[in-house]
Amino acid sequence: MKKLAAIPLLALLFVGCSDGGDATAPPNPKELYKSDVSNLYQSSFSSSASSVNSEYNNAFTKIFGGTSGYNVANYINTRLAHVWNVDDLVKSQIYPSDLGSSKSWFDINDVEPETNSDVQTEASNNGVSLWLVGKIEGKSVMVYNGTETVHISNPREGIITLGKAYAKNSVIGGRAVALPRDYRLAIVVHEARHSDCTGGFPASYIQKARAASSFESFLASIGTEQLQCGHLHVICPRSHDFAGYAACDKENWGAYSVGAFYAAGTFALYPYGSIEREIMEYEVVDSFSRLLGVSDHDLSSTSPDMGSRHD
Amino acid sequence: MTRKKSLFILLGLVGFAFLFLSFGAKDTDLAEAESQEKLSQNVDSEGSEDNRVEEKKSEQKTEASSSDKSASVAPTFLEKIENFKPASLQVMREEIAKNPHVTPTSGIASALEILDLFKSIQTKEEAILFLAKMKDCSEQNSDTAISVKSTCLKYSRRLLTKFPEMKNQVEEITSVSSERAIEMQKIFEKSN
Repeated sequence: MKKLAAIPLLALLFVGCSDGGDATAPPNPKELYKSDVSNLYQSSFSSSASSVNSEYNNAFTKIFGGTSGYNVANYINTRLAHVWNVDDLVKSQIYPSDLGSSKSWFDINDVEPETNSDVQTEASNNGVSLWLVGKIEGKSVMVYNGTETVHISNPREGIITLGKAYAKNSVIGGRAVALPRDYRLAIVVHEARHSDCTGGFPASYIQKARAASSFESFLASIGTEQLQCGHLHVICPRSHDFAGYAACDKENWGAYSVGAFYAAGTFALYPYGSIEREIMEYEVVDSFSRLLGVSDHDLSSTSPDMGSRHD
Repeated sequence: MTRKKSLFILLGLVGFAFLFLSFGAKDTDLAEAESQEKLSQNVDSEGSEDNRVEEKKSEQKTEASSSDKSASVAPTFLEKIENFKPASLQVMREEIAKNPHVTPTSGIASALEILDLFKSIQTKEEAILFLAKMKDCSEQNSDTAISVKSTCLKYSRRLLTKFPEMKNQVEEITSVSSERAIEMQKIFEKSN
């Protein structure tokens, strides 16, 4: 038995943190998540997302299947079947125990409890990485957190793991700030996108992955074809602000893009000039700034493939 | 007894009036001292400000004398604008190093600070100071991330809603801004 932990691939999926010190955070991020998602059913984005839709070829509608809160909730629930806290992840055990041992880039390291870390996680999606590793190694993967057993039979068995920074409030720049619900949901939407194995993961990729010595060399071996299965992030190039870190996307409709479109389609719900709206607007530009080689024209002239193949 | 009582009351009133006048004088002195202190604080902070802001302040003085003499820069605004420094790229990279996919809180903090500054602009002189800061922040070579550059550019443009006559200055900022920041701003404006 091994503890489920930060496989490098898996680490690519982490998103968000706060600068800590939030004494008003609710004790259970899972409850807040459930409340955020269930409140979506009373929401409508038909007005707030109208600009995004008209300027970007109906992007919001194409990503979520519509502009109602129900559509967004359905997008999330289809991709994130399991909701865990970081503590669940820390005590989880992965089967088979030798999963990931065949490659150095599948090394499994223990996840630290949040109390031992100066980085507070908002959310991560731990399902698709396990599925990909199992797929490459030809193994059936299961994970047990002490109360729940999850068979990772397909990429959409998403496990969203919520950290303490998934909170109603945060301390930003020394001031206590109420985080907008849609800021948290933009992160969830981002994480959910990782559960899409868009285009599938064909046998030829499996062979190349097995032969590759590193994740980067695997990506190089598949040449100009872009790996969209799992919408994994890539290392930002030298010219980028975050050069050297896996904080970028090389595709039009990856996790950063759909998260940005959710934020762009919802910030108009907040009063002009409010702190909440500014946070949402910053989320939009931060996410879009991580798209490599993607222009405004690319976004307005293409459509997202929101499908997922399990073969 | 009645006369004595009246005398005591009279003396009491005189004493009270004396004390009142003394405290009143002290209050006036205190107010003057505070005023002088504030003045010297302003002088100190002006002295520590870089040349660009000094130049802008002289520009504003010129403009104020020629156009709107009532316009000025509130001391609180001056202090805030002088202290404003957007998150440096280094600070943001340190956050990213801990968690590559974080939305850097230092970037959000900068955006919120710019929002505060923008909302407190009352006069054209303050707008000029604000615009100078936004220019420094959004320039191609400034030590800021694209997301922060884009935010500074956004507020430069938003200034036109308050001061449409500043169109040329705002356009000048756009011309020296990072191309990627302009692209981000374009996407943002189309979503708005």
